[in-house]
Amino acid sequence: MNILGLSAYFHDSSACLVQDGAVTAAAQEERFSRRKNTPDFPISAINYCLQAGGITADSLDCVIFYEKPFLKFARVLEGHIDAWPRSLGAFLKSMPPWLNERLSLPLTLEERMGYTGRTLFAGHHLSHAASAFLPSPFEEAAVLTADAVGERAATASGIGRGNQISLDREIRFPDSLGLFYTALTTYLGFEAHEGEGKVMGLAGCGRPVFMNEMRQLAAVDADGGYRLDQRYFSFYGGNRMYSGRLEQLLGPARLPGGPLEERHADIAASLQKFTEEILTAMARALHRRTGLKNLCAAGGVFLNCVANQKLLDGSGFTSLFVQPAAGDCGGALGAALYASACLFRQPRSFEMKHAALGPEFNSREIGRAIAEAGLSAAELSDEELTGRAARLISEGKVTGWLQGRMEFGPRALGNRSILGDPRNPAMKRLLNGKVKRREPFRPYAPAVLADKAGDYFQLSGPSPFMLLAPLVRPEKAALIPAARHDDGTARVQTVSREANPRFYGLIEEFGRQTGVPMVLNTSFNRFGEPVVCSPGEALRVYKETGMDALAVGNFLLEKNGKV
Amino acid sequence: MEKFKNFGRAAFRAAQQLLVPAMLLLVYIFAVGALAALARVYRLLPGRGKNAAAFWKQTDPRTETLEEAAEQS
Repeated sequence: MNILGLSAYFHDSSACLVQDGAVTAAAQEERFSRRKNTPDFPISAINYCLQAGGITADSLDCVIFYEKPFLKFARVLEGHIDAWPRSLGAFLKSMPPWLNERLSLPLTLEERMGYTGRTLFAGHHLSHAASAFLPSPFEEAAVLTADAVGERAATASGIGRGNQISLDREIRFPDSLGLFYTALTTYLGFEAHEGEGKVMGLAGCGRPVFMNEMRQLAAVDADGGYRLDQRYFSFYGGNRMYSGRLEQLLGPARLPGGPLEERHADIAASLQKFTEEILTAMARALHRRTGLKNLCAAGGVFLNCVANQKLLDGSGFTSLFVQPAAGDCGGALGAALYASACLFRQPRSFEMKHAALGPEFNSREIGRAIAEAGLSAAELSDEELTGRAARLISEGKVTGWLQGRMEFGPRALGNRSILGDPRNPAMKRLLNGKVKRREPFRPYAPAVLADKAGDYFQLSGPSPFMLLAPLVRPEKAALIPAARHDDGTARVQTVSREANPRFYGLIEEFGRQTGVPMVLNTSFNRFGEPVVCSPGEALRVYKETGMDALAVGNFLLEKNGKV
Repeated sequence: MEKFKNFGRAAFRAAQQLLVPAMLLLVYIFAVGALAALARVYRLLPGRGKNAAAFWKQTDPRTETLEEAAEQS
């Protein structure tokens, strides 16, 4: 049975192919179109998935979309009605896409893919829930989802058992934890749906001294239920997400690119702590209600790895699985698995132990790309490659690493990565200066051998998708200064040999050479661009930035004339 | 003939560029405006800043049938 899941039209369009219950391929459209977070119909991602599955659109048993468009349209219209006449600009901007394509997906599938078969629609939060529970290792688990908004729900909870998912309660827009965080992200001068991770990083540099103000913005129950005071927000119309009343409470908003003050870091820290309290209270109540020991979570809010750690530590659940593609791109995967397991009752045969679901390239393709780029490279054996790459990283070289299948989701997990030495206190400055150009307060994340992770971090279990942020063990902090954030935490990726033997081998060799089995792992992209997909894109970044070396497949390139 | 066709296409596109926003504006002013007036009069929509007794809403937890999953609402 061939099922194609799609997410599109809002942000981060993607496609996912499930064949006989297992995910064959998944990819985000942005990686092909090179438009970051593109909402466009994911035709390139679809074509990749079909090719990877060895099928054409004719062989699909169904296509399933990750939300119910008519329900969402009704909510959007209600918003315009409620905000009339302030919503004129938003109405004129939003209606054409709805009328042209969002309400006529079957027609779009026919026109763009030649597909005229069965088309299904899963609820938005149900797609998130499915993306978390169905590929998890659990036979039963509590499920929690939270994001900006789906059709109407912004937060939902329930239980997953076997092939069934039951979401029995939700909190509805305009009460939205995701939009709350995003509104304050824009207040702090960062971009909506891009800057939330930066605010999470900034929070680590501040103190939560604005908690009283946060409690004025939202009322919170003991069970984590919340209601925003809408007088402080503007989700329906206007050109910003918060009102003047918010600025009276917290002070003037920071202009994009403006200087960062201590007040901004303190507001970020307060926002972060408030969000953690809400999520932890929700999870604690869910644990009491269900009596289950496993929790699955998805939705953009759960990309907040600092909050995930607090949730795991304080909720009573002993195991946590967060879908690595926790945002809307994961909706495609969730919808496809939902159709397979819940609607068509296929056995649950897929466990997501890694996120490598995208395209890969063979030696011939890589060699051709290198020649087309006018570069020369040494083709090495596996052992030579890991040995030399580990040596380069240990010498402080910023080293690109493109191997195997591209990851699905926002995190680079060792297949489309830029690597650095966590022992080098100057590594953050080097990475920023040579390639990434990130704000100086943002930390870089370590990838550590799974069996050694406990030596360096206060981790109670694996963190394969970089979605937890434990404390660095104080006795090891001086060894890995570049991996430790100002608040003492690190956004850790634990690497197992089973999930990624190549990356494991590199880190193992680095550990052999230096005594520290860990590298800094950041995504292979320039500022403002999507993560690279193909060798050609990686070579372009290598040529046009200060990157010192690049390992793509078994080919190694070094600058300054070395090969 | 080709020139005539090209002219026709360009004229249609220009009309479309003008007509679509104009029609949307009229719909917004009259149709959406009327619904907004009704909503305010009959308080059909929840007001801002109000707090309800419970923040969580109960939903139907059962799995959809295939027929229900085929619906866009």
